[in-house]
Amino acid sequence: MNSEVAKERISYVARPDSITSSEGDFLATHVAVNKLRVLDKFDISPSEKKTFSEEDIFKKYISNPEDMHQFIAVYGQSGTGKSHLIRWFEARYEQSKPKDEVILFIRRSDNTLKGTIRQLLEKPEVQGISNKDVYERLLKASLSVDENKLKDMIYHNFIIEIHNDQDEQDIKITNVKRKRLEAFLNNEVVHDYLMGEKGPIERIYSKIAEHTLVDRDTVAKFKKEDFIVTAELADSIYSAGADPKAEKMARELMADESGIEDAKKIADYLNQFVSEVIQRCAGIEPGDFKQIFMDIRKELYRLDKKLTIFIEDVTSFTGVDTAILDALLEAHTGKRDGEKLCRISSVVGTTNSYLQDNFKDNHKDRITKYIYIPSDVLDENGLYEFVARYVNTMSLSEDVISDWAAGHANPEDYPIHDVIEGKNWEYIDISHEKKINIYPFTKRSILYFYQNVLEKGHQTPRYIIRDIIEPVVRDAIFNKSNFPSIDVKIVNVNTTLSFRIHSQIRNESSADRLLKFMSVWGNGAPDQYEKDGKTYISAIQKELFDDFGFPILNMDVIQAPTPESVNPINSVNTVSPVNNEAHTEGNDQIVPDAKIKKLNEANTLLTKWTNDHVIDISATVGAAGTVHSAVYDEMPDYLYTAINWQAEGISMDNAKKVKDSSVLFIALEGQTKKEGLYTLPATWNNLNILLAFIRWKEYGNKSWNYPDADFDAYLITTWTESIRKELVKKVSEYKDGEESRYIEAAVTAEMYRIILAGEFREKSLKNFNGQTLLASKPNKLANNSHSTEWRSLLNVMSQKGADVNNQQTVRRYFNIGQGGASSNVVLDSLLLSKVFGKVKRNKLVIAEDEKQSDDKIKQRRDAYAFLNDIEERLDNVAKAELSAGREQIQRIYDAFGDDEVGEEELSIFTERVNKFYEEANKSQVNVKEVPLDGIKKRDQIKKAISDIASVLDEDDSLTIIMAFSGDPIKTLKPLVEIIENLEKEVEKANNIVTTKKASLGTDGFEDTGEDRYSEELKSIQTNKQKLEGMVNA
Amino acid sequence: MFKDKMVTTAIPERIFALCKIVEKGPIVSYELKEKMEPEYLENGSVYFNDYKNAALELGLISISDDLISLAVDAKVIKNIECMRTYINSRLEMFNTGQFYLVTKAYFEKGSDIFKEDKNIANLGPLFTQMTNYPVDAVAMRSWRFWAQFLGFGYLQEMFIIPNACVFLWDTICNASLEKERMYSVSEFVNAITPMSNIIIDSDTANRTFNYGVSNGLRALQDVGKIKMDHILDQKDTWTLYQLKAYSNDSTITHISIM
Repeated sequence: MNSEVAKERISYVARPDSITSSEGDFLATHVAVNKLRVLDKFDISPSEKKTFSEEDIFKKYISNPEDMHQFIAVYGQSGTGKSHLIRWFEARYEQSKPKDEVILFIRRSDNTLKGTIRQLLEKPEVQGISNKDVYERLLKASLSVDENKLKDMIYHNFIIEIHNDQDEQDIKITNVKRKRLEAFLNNEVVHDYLMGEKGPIERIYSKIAEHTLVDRDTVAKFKKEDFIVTAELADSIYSAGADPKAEKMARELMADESGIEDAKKIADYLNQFVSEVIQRCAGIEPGDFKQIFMDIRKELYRLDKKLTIFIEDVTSFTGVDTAILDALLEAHTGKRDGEKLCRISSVVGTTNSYLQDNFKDNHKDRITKYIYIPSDVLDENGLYEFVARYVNTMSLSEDVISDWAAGHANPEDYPIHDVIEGKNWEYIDISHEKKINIYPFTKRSILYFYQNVLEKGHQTPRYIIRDIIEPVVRDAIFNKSNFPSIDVKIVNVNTTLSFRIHSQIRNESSADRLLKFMSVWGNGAPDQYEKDGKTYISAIQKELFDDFGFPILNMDVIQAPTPESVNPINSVNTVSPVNNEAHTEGNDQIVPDAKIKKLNEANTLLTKWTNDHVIDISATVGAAGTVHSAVYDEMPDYLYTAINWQAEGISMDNAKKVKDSSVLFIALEGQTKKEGLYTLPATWNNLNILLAFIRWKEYGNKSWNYPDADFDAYLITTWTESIRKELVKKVSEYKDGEESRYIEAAVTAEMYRIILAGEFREKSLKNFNGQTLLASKPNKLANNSHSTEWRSLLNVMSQKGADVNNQQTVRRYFNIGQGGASSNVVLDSLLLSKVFGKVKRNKLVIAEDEKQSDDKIKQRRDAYAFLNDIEERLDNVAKAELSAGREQIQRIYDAFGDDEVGEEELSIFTERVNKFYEEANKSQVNVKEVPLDGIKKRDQIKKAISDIASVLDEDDSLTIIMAFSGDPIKTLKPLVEIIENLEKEVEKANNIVTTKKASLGTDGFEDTGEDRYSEELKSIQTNKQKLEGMVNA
Repeated sequence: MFKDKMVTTAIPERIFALCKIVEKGPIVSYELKEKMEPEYLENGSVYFNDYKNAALELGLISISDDLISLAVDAKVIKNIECMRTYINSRLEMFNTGQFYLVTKAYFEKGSDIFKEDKNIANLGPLFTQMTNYPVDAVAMRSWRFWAQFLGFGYLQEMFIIPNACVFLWDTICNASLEKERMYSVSEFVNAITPMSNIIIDSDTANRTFNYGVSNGLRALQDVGKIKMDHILDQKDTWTLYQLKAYSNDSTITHISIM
């Protein structure tokens, strides 16, 4: 490489579009292709095995030795070198064409419809054609419309076509669908979407506008993908308030399967209007183009000339493609309007898909030969030579190349640059015993890029130039101190090499750079060997490291490899697969191939992760599934036991809650689903850690008994120590810098539960002690006199065992356990007293801003949810309970006629009741005796009355529920029942007395005077005297 | 516990909790027991004596007339790491005890321990044979708690992965090795062996660090606490356990405390 020259020349030489490079650069970088296929019939993927060189094809077909009418289609995937080959054919033919042959080379330099016509008319041979002035006027009427307006014109022309469709097209859609489609396209959101950078309008616009940057092989058509409506797009459409018809269409296009079918149908339907729309917007009619061609052929015939036309890209003719094909396929032997046409030999470049879809069958049948360029047109040596010629050409001045080209570009005179940089680097042999130095490439790096950087379908000359040669050379000449800085994804990184580099080079970017160099430019193995007196590290000669200032690390000395070990181009992957996985040297353990494969696949995925910093491991199968298992199961299980949580000051209850939660201990950087407390950055070292966990599971069946497990065990333990503090911090925190305090909520809720369950019945929390808190057992009070609200709250608390769960939280949190094996509790009494004291001091109140109700650990959040269930009902419970209590106590006060009811009053009450019964008995008034057992425990009744009375004017809910915790209403209930029953009996007695009184006399009711019984007394007196007389007589 | 047989109930965290209560002032045994295992908890068994005795063995507490007092300076139990460092400085006092002997045997086993049963509770017979001391499953279960706590390795389910980085760092601190000073490897070994014979073979003739110690030294190097060097032409060399992926050079001549 001569970087001084290359800095000037790279922009001119490394052009993906060969047509735009100079003749000299074109020839100097040309590598003969030898894997071409010749077919009589179109086949999108030919099985024909016979191959031809470009020279063979030139001689046999392109030079047209039989001077016949012919149409040769050159096709292949985008970027395979069709243009390059056609240009080479053209250049080759220019050197040997007959004198009467006129060559027209239609470039796609500006790649527009009008540009193509302009190229035709600029040819000197056609300056005398008829109607030339008309055609030129047509071209000059150039569209002076600005880009956005022109795109809008295209867009709305499609809507016009749909609106006016009279079912004259081959592909039809129903009237209803047509109206929906029209509404859909008229929607503003859809309009913006389809007019987007990669949308169909941009593609179609590129065929009309004068200057665009769209891929040259772009086909100006709608694709089904243009009409697949994503949820996001649909949301935008709905939220913008779409026409109902447009919304319906959007919904149809969203459907999983039918949506895709509909999208394809719509694309196919609209594609029928593409030609018409393009023509209308470009201001050209199909007839114009056809006429131009016919006039050219007539003119040439008149001049006794024949025409060979090379069309680099027939896709340029979208809009008039049918017309141009008709014109080219028309043989000179026929007659047209009585005028003769010249013979025409056409060599037309096209992509596979365009040929398949846009050439009608009658066109395909009339094509003389098909020349197919396979995607892998270059073999291994061809690939090296291709890169080498570019490196060479950009290291030579334009003058040197021009001189060589002007001198017939003889291969034997091919100039070779003077090597300024990279004298120790590899050389490539080309013809005539010439050698080209390929600095800054190695053969391995070229293969690596070809196989691992270029996407499938992009392994073609265009992308080799664009994605390999240009960026790598630029990196080497403009950014040498950071070379290789380009973003190269290392496939299946060798974890041993990675670890060794990163453990010895502390600067991570320097280590990454070296790893990239050794993995891509070398073989990625942690080996070195001597060969011919030179040292090779990772198969890279030691001096090459010096050229870029890399440090030299000692690697394991091995025997120099034999020449056979060099990988051929098709044996993907050239990079040695992973870390001598499970090599069995000196070890009697053998890891099954399937497991090695599984690990390699995981390594590939994880290597991609380190490159992309994004990973989707939601799947549970395949490579993602292997990594999923490591992240979701193996790592958390290990960390849960490897970190001594209690010694780190974290209760096992907290650690277990986190472990059991949906939040992972560790999530990978860029993991698409599920979050973790600690994010594992996408670094090489962490890739090693993950692979170690996977090997532990897969190779060792969850043990460390497998080859090289000693290193994995070392890696895992050292890594544990490195993340321990941070992970412990994350587990202990609710949010950054804020300790998790869910235990305060749990203790508070448990205290409420104990009070509500009547297990603590004091009016003050003062005597609420550890025993009350920890020795309580949840129970349901089946028989109580609490309010409905109170009972309902108890039910809510016991739903799904929430009360039991919370009680276990409290009991476990303060237990110093021994690996979860024992059910015995050994209290961390200092911690208990600290938390318990705080909760009591705060009178079971946790300020709103101190609540951690949005804790991402659900199991910790449960404590707040449970507490919240209680708190949000507490006021109502207190109110209802107080109301019921007030009613009861008022009943008693009324009965006693006093609002001070104590033991003395109760005693008097009892006496009065007893007296009542005595009197009733005496008076022979028959009343039912009400048992007074219910008021025997006067002290309890007194306390119950006092409890209720003490909170009659209270607002604080806790104070109220504590007053009612002992269920005083239940205690008072017998007294109230006695009162009620007695009242009934008293009433009854009154009634009896009244009746008796009434029966004493008809008028006796009103007469209560002393004479009321005078008659009876008289009678008694009379009788008494008689009896006394008789006795005395 | 350390003098004789190990018991699972005497775990370090309980000893620490006990010491923190005692730190507040001498306390009679029953009261202390009631603070940690009150009757009302209705535990089936009482573990108190196990961890109280372990604390006594370790010299953390003293008992006089049933009154338990802290026997060490308060800074020893300032936090649980301080207590660990203190205990690590005293392990050689128990070199005939079960814990000491099993730990020593475990490290002597090197990476071959990976070939044994992954549930260490099943390794009683192996260690009985290696230590000439009866070791049963209970003892092994107990050993794992202390091996993990004292920094001899990392607990994975019922297996301890040998890596003595925490223990070695405690020992380096206890040995008062100077920071930012390079020691010859023999100087280093001589400085720490009084407290680390439990894992470094006192017969230093073979000058080789076993797997667990090598892991510990490498881990300390990785976190930047020490730096190991191989200075050529030095005769005073020790060899680390060979870990091919870590480095192809396992010989060291000097260790610097960073």
